[in-house]
Amino acid sequence: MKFEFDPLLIEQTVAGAIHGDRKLEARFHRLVDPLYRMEQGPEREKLFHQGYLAFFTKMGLETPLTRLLLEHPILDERIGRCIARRAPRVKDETAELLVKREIEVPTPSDRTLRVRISPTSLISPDVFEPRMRREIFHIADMVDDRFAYRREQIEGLPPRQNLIRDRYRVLWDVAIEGRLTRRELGDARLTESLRKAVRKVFGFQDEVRACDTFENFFGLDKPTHGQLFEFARSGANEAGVGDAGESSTGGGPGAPCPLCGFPTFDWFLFPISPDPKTLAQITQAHPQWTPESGACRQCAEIYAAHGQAAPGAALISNQ
Amino acid sequence: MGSVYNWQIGRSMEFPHGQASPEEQFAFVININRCIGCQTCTMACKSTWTFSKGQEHMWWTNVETKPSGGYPKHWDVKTLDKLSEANPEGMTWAESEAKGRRNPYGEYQGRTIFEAPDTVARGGSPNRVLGYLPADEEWGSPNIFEDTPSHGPSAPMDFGKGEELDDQGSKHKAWFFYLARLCNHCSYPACVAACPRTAIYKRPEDGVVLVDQSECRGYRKCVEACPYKKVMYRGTTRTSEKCIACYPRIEGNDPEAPGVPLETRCMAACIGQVRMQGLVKVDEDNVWINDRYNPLYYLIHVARVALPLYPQFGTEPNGYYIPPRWVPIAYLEQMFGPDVEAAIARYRNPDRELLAVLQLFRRSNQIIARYDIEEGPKVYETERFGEKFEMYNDTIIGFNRAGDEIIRTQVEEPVFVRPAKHANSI
Ligand code: SF4
Ligand code: SF4
Ligand code: SF4
Repeated sequence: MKFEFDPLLIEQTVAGAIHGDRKLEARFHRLVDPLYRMEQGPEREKLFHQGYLAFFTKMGLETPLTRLLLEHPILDERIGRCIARRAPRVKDETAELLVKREIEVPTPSDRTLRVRISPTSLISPDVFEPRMRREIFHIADMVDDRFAYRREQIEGLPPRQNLIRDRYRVLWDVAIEGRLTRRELGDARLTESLRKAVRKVFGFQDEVRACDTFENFFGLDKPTHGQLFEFARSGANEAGVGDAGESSTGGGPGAPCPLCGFPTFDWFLFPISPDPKTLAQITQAHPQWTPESGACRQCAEIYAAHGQAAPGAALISNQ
Repeated sequence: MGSVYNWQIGRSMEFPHGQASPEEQFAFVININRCIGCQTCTMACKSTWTFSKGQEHMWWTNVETKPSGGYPKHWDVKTLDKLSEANPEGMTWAESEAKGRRNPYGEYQGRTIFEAPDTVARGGSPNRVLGYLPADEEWGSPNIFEDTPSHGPSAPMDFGKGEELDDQGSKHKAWFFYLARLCNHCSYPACVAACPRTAIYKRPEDGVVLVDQSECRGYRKCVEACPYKKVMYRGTTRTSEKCIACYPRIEGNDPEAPGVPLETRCMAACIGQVRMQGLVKVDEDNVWINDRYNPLYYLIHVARVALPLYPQFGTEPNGYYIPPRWVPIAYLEQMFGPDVEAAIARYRNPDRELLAVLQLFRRSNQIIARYDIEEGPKVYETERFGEKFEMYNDTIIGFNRAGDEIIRTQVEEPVFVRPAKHANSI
């Protein structure tokens, strides 16, 4: 698997990791301070990135992530690329599997693992590891033939679809927590809250049956997508399951827009190849930006408008 | 480590640089009782200085709702937590025998942020200043908890019930107030103390604290050290930036009023008319020199209604606040020091001169260097909080640095009666 770390993530992680350590700070500043005398521009940016990358690698700051990926050798076999982007907040950290849609039987090069990590997480992985471990476990299931994950056609009315999606999610989480617990990586508090979640989403079951449901899925060593999905549908007349593996654009509801930094619930869905003029406007102001980082609707509209207007607009975004 | 005199804490204290003082000192007073949280000041600064790439998260001046809000999130709670660690005996004040300009609030007996650097020791060696570096996400929500009261079902923090607003004994169950903040251009700036490159400096002419952009190398020690969290890191230039006190206006170089100092953008824009800014004279210990008819001198040292924000931090901030009347005194004492109850009592029942000086707020964009009062007739008399209250319709006149009259107003608001011929028109 090839790794690509977002330069902003690298920079902020290194800054946090060396802050306060006199020796490291002195070494780092010997490397980058001369760059401050250079004119602002791409060459200076490149050299700054190289400086930060050198420290990132030397300090092994990628290890908290790579260590988690090694827990599932199948990930390396099945996924060609891992891109690590910066999550603006710890609660926005996720792992997602991106698969080229048009391909029936994807090969590793058609699959990308995208993780969003907050810079503080790579410096102090104690909180990050348990949560990301569970995210990555979902991805390992998704690429495992035995689990046989597939996207289901969603039918029926939205409330029923949501209910089935919730049940599927809870059952999957339970099946993962069970396997982690047997590897001595479980979390007793999370297990308890999953037990409650099962009772909530299977409200029609009495306490004993809900407990059985929990134990059954918790005890599965080799769960399959079919098992989870069929059980999630049980008791429902119409079936359908959510897009658990589908990539989403942006950082999730309430996450800050990567362009203006304001929290947004209104993410703009960029097409795979956005309008080149808009793209040029955005990347001129935010060189690290990619369409999948997303943007709030206001930013998308402003940059699109700048793209449409001619040279004067470039001046505005350049200030 | 040198020793400097800090009049706000009534004693000498440790500071990494030697004693120095500017010719004049930038200072301001904000009347919290009248701030409506409209954020016009915030936007005035934003649209003047921080609208560019990489500055999206920067609000050099901001207005936050206390007790729950803060930008960056919980900045004061976090610093107070650290300072409490450094002061296991508490952040206490001792009464002084004779209170004067050198010790108007008594003597602070706890340790300041300069005297407790060992509380934060990373990488084996203590910092120069006690502080913390806010995480990226803490800068992201400048209005978080806006208008969230202290008490009620959704209150994240509970600091008890409010104080009496009138002498009928009515108390509000819930309270909050707006705290408008900017860099305090401190007399003993933590940002200056922490910078390993001496890239931050205090201007000798007006005490304005600036970051030399050509010298800054992005260490972020200033961001960590400033207890008010008023230095911000800019990712695009990889340097730190802060409020520049709108220095072209202070210098009198603004086309609006050539030659005389103008108040800063955030002051001049204030809709609520709660801000007043000026330049004051200080001696070699940074103790204010008697300048009886400078309105800031009057409010801080004569009427003593305006108090420094968190004086126990030790930076001798030059931003002063008239504390809100409805907030529990214990909370305010932590924020403004031991004189807060007396300051509120004085403001609640203003005397003749105070009532006149309060009329000067936002009557002119030029800095008022001096005021004068022409006495007028008594127009009202009552009793408030067991004391006699009299109102005189005095005229107050403000003068700029050049000695020119720039404002003349009266205590009683003038009433204009529209002539009958315009009765139904605009
Ligand atoms: S408020 Fe902070 S940034 Fe401003 S002078 Fe004081 S220590 Fe420095
Ligand atoms: S004094 Fe000027 S630079 Fe400072 S906060 Fe106010 S408007 Fe902004
Ligand atoms: S402009 Fe004045 S009234 Fe409005 S928020 Fe700022 S300080 Fe308060």
